[in-house]
Amino acid sequence: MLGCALSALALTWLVFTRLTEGSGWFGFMVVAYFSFLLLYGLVTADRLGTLVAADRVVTVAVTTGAVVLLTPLVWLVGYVVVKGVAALRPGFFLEDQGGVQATAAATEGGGLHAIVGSLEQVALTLIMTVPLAVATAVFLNETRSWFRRPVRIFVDAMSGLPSIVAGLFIYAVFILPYAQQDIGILDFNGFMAALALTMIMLPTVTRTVEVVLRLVPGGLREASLALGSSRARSVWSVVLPTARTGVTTAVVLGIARAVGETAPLLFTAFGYDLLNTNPFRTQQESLPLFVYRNIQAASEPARARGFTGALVLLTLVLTLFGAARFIGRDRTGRQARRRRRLPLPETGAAPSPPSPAVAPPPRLPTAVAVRPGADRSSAGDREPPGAATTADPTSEEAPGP
Amino acid sequence: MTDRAETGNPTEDAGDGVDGGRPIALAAAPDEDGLADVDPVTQVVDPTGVIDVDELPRPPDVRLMGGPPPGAAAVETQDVCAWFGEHLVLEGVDLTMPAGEVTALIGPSGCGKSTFLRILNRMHELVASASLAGQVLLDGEDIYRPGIRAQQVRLRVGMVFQKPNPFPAMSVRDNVLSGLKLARVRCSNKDALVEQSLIRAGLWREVRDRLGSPGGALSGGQQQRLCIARALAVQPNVLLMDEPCSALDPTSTRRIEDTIAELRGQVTVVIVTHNMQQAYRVSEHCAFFLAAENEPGQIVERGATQKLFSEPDDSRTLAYVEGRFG
Amino acid sequence: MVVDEPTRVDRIFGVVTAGSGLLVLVLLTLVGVFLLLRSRDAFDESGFSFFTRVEWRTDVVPPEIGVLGLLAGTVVVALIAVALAVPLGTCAGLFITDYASGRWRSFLTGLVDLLAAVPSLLYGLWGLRLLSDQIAPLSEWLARNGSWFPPFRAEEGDSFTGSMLIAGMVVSLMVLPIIASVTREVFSQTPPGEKEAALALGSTRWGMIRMVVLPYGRGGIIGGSMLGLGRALGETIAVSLLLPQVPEVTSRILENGGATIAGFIALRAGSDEFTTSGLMAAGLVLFGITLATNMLASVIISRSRSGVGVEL
Repeated sequence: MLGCALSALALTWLVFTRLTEGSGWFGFMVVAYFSFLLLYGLVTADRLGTLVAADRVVTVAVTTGAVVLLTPLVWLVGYVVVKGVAALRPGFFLEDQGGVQATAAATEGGGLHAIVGSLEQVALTLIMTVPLAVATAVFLNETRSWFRRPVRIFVDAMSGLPSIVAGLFIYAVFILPYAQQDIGILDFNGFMAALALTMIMLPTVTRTVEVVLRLVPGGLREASLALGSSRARSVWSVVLPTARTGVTTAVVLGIARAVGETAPLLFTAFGYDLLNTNPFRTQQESLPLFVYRNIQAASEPARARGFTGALVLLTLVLTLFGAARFIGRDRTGRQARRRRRLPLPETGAAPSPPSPAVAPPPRLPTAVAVRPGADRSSAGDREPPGAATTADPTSEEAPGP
Repeated sequence: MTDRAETGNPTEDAGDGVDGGRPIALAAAPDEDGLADVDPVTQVVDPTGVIDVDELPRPPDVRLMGGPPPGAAAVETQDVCAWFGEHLVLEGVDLTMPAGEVTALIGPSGCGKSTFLRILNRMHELVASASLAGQVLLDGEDIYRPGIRAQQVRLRVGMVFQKPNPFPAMSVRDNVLSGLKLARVRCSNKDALVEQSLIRAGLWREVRDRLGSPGGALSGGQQQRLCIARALAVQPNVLLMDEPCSALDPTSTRRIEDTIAELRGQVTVVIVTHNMQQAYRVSEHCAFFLAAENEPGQIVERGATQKLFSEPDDSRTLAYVEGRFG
Repeated sequence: MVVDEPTRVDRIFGVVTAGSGLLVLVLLTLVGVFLLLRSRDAFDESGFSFFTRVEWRTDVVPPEIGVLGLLAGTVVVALIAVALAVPLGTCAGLFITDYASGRWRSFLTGLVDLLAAVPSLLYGLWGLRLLSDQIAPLSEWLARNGSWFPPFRAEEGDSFTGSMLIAGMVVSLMVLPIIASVTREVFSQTPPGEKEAALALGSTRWGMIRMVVLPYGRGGIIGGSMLGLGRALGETIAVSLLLPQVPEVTSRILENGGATIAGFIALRAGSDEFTTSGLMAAGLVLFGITLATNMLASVIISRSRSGVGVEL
């Protein structure tokens, strides 16, 4: 295999230096990769037959596909961090762009106005989205209305709504008709941005929450109904608390998505250079808008400011994402710890059932991770039965039994 | 029932908790009185645990507000038929389940026992395509008559499911009290109720030190008894059990059978089981369900358990109880 | 059918939940209605030629605006993105379900979600300031040596940055997570019995995948690709940063040029009234296309044998 890689590299180098005048490293990589695949396939086919060769080549190709997922992400994050850190000063969190010339040093002024705007807009979005999304998800999953099918189709369709169209829509409904009338709330402002963001966030959060609700075992609903509960009560007191972790994760992921949305803001918040703390009046800046405008600027310092904003935005998004993963994981982790601790109070007590006081394990991510007895050294064509079927992304949000 | 709780009748509020001067503060009693006191309740909570909880007479009642009327209730069905969609699954079932006694429903899988059980507390109608004919009388009152809500029925007729299903987001204590919360039943002395329900379910001694831990953290058998405690906490007149032991090991099964024996006289128990010995051990009355191929389920034979197991009238019953089929 | 009389609480509960469900329906309908209303000016002015004209000129009298150039660019960029993302996304989905072991599996699942969480603005930024310059030499080489293939033709002296190829590559990164997660979900539902049967017949892992997993997941792959296409069509910010946004109909994907509806709208935010109504009209077209694509995708996924219960 190593031999193949080396010869592929050599071959590509040959091709590139002799036959062409070079096309950059990217082209080099692509050509080298494919010649490696070809050589590897040929060599294995020669030694072990075409069947095994096909299997091996596909394994390599598929693995590469997964690695390729990683590359741009690392590259992107690294790039933004490197470029953004240069002009990052505490002042960025304390000042706005008031009186800062486009050509002034990148460290002058800051992004306070953008950060405040982003936070306010996202907070407003959250206030509107969460109750609506949860209610819609409950409607889709907990009621028996004939009306669910069309709603589900529309939620699906809405989740593919281009974000710019959402912005355009809010602009067309609330801002454009009242353009010259100077009504504070019906003009470019943060609240309009929040409305547009709600259009984007509502369907995604609804669907994630619905998935989470679907994971709540039906037995719990039956049990609560059998206790004489009304449907509303059983949703409120049993289903939602059981799905709490998953719902929180869904919401946090929704926030992460909303924070980085730029397009709908162009027509709603519009952007502003100064701090405006009132989201209901006049234009407001937000982080994505700040980055978007500065990054396109001709002057180098402005671009640097843009990168700093991008770094803050990226940090925010990654933090939110990490928080969502942490919340999704937290519960199962705590339960695992509890399970270890639980048998202790039993010792010394009078006869207890022979089965150890251990709950049947909830579907933990770690349970997915443990793959029994996969013989990696063999030709790799033996797969433990059923192992692949447990890869459910939502299992980490799944409430335990 | 529920409505009364919602309106919050003040006279009931006043009467609540002191009901006839009967002791309610169970939790406080043991430490003061110790072993000298002959009150069984005291012994139940005695930390030394000298006396086996399961053998004790039941502790005194805690009065609930807005809950079911006290005592066990007889259940009687008249010509009950059930459908799923167009498919008739149960035909012409007449069965009387006397108050305070244990009735076992036996028969092979798919003969409609569980469906019948779910008809008794109106869980049947939760299946979208389900329909029903006939009458189900709870203490002589048709539970399907117009104007009565399924909720009210289910409050009086509790249910324990095949798989233990404690609410995972709630602690042991909250699980026991969940029925009150869900059905808006009120009780002034919740600690006493928790203790009483757990004692009746035979679980008190195992969990009294960790009432705050999550319900899902108990073992399977404990979880099932927690579910029984949860069903008992609202003090139902009837308790339906749908193969409560099928997911449990023999020891846990034994404990649940003990619990059922304890409940005799206080609650009417209707239990579906595939375990012949269990039916024989726990029940006074027995009904044998059978469904021929592509035919709806029917009762082949009903009567006293003793008779059904020793000298049944129907040859199919004999074959089934002797284990020759099913 | 047994009818239970709902309590007051249950009735309120029903109304509230159904109301929020209805809201989604109403919102989406309103989007179409309002875009149509506000685009009347543009349609009045250009009539049907709005759909056939390539140029977008508001500086002449009467203004000449058409959506065709934008539409062509939108479709080309989206197709490039999907063409790149489908093989990669399918590979990633396959790797997660059938190759990755233990830790890798949950790590990659998280990674796919993370890729989806990175704002499109940052992808655009990265593509504009970094990737563009890395890809340009490759484009140049392709243009020089592959000009027999029409899409690879380029005019002499044209820049190779800001091309539809680069825009498509960046957008492909954004649709990758969607395709990867849909395919993963579908593959993971392959009945284990069928897989074992294939392996028990002495098949290699690839043989098993080809015989069982891929046919089973075909609907999911197609549906996922359609869904990705829908996203790619509506992708705004990255494209507006990367392309010069000059409407044209061209197959030359290597050289600087091209525009997409979404990117164009973003760039023209805050224009005069007539342009805005033109933008509304363009937005309506985009809305219609993405809606149709997404609906089709949902139908394909839910109709396919494997797609029942798959979350998009």
